[in-house]
Amino acid sequence: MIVEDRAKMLLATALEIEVAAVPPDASIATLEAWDSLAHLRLVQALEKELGHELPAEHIFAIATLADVAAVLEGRPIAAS
Amino acid sequence: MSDKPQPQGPAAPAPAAAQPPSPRAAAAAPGQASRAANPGEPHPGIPLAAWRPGQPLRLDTEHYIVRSMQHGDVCEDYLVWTKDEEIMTGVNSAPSNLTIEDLHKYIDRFNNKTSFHFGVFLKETGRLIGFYSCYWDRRHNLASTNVVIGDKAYWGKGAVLETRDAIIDFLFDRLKVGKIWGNPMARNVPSVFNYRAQGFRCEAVLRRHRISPTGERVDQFMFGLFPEEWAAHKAKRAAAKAAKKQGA
Repeated sequence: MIVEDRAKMLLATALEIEVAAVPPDASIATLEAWDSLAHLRLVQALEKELGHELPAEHIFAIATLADVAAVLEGRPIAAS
Repeated sequence: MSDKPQPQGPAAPAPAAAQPPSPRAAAAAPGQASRAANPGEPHPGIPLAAWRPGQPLRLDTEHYIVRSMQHGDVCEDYLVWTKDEEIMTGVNSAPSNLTIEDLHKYIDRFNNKTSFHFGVFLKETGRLIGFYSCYWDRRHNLASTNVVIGDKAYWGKGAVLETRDAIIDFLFDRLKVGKIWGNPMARNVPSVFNYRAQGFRCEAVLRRHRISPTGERVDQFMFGLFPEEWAAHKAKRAAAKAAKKQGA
């Protein structure tokens, strides 16, 4: 599975919505289901997937689907 | 959940850690406009337009009433929250053995001038679901808002965003506070999320700055918000809401 699809699946699961409901430009600003508890579930899912705790900066910085993909790939998160 | 799970910053189920200045109870403040309709019942709070410093304040939002806590508001739920490990972890504290009397003493430390202990009540039923402890350092014109949503049924429901919006407006518009800051533990993800969602900027990550209840050193964030950033954030949010409505 390509990283974008993995990211989409993780995000959809954390937000408890269908994968199809996650657009390519999904963000905290555009997805109502992305609330504080969904964010907690997302951080926990990413940590499980990666096998280690996320650095504190990532907990704050993840705000888009692209950020989730970047974290999965170990790339820096673009500044928002 | 404290914002501080929101439990979003060092919120208040840790009364011993709080530093409110005056020992005077809100309900005993002089010049208070009126008392509760029924003796023994908590004062309903003075709406912002008529409020004067020292009086119990009331802020209304769409779903909640945020008002100065009084002895009569301390209920079994509040006590239970202070003993709940999950809630207390959110504020980086161990569960406590506080009594109702301890909580009364805690409430008495807030003067409704430079320190506020607000209850978050459901508008529909009047039930208490959480609380804020807010402090205004006048020397530096700097305020903080520490929140605990104790009723877990309201975690992830936007209660903090809705109620802290009103408190931020009060701090900036009425008290003319120059900056609001918050310092949640980095692993308090819901709290971090809420600060971000309200336009706070991350000014620093204090690495392994605090010791958790389990003895580990943990990172802590420093968030800050200036009045102009809050105004810009609200304008951006309103524009997004309008665009969404138009697109719907």
